[in-house]
Amino acid sequence: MSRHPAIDLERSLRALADEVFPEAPPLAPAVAERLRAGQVMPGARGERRRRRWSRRRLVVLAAAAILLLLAATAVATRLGIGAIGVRIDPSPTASGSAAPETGAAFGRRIDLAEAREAVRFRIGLPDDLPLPDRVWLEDDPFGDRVAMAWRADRSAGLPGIPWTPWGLVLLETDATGEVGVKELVPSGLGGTAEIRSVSIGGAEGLWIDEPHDLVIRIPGGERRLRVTGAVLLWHADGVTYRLETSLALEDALSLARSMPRGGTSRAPAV
Amino acid sequence: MEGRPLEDAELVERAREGDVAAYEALVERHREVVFRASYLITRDAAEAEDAAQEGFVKAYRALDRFRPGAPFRPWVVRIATNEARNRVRSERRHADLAVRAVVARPSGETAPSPEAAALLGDERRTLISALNRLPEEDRAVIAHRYLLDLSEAETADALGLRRGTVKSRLSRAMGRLRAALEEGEEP
Repeated sequence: MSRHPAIDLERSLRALADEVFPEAPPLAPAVAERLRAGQVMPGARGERRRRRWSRRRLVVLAAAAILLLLAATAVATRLGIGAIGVRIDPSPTASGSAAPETGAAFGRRIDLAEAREAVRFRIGLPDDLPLPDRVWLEDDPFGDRVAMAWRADRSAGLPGIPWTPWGLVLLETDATGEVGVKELVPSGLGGTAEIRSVSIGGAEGLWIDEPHDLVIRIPGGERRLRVTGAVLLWHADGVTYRLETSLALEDALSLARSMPRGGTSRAPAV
Repeated sequence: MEGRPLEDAELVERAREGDVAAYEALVERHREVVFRASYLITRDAAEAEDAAQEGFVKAYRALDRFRPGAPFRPWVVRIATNEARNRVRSERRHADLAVRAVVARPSGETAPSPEAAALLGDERRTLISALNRLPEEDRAVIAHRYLLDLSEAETADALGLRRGTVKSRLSRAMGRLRAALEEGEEP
């Protein structure tokens, strides 16, 4: 018989709380002081957007300079577009699972009409493609996140992403915090870290044509995935887009440019 | 003036209108659980304090997205733990929930509860070790439910899961914890 029956185990765990936590600091005065000093109103999104826009500009400007140095760098470097961070790291942690497990990482399955009802931004879709074969939704405290996948179909111009059934995976989020980080290995250390700065209808973006790990936030933690396709990242009018594909850069850009800007979807609810 | 303490929902409503004192009262009410939730991730008191403080400020700024009538506590816990995770990740540390005993407690602190005192040192170490051997998902649900003492519904909100999922995951996690404890007992 176990020496840890259910009731004792629950009691032991609750008692453990007294042992494992330091005393909580008095947070209220500091928080109130910051709120008063900043004269921040609840829901001050304008302020957030301006700040983020400004930060994004800085990041992209820095990226333009850093991209030239990536091939040789042996120092961890951090870039980012909107809610997706990019880290070029000479000493990455263990690699993620070989096959991107998109369903588990991207939230609950949902249909497109439900997703359109659920998210606060308008979902953008590439003009030249049919509706996605699969849609997932993830709620996040800082924004909504929708992922869509189209099955690989070479005749339709969508070659398969290695180790997945998909020809295209598109993630869109209006999250204000970072929902995922891409980890790449610089060249000379087993990787090529080829990242190119691109422009999509005036919005700055990044093209990452190298297998890498994506660490994505999920409820209760995070999940590391191995990304085997190339990825186009861009951010427009408060929405971050991540498009994973086996297409060449020009074709991926063409798909991205066919999408309405800033989540203002061309399509009415299906 | 004496009066009944305001409910969270009333304080949230006032805070939404820009009443910082109302929000301060909310912070005071929930600072412990938010700090503890952050500490489980950062494993460092100073970093947990920063993450908790930032979590409260971000929650204030996001009050327009807060669903009226929803419980405030799990919402702010979720925001603070995301903040803690981002901070840990930015320092390239492993951002999962881990439990460890506090080695030195500040002087003048109140004595542990009788239940805590009853936990023998060996048993406590065994429990912490077993907890830390569990997969992160299991550890997260057990920590939220028992170490942070959130209800099942609050645990579900804080982790962004359905209530039924919390129930089944908790049951499975407790089973694994029990098995890990039994393993630890074998000579």
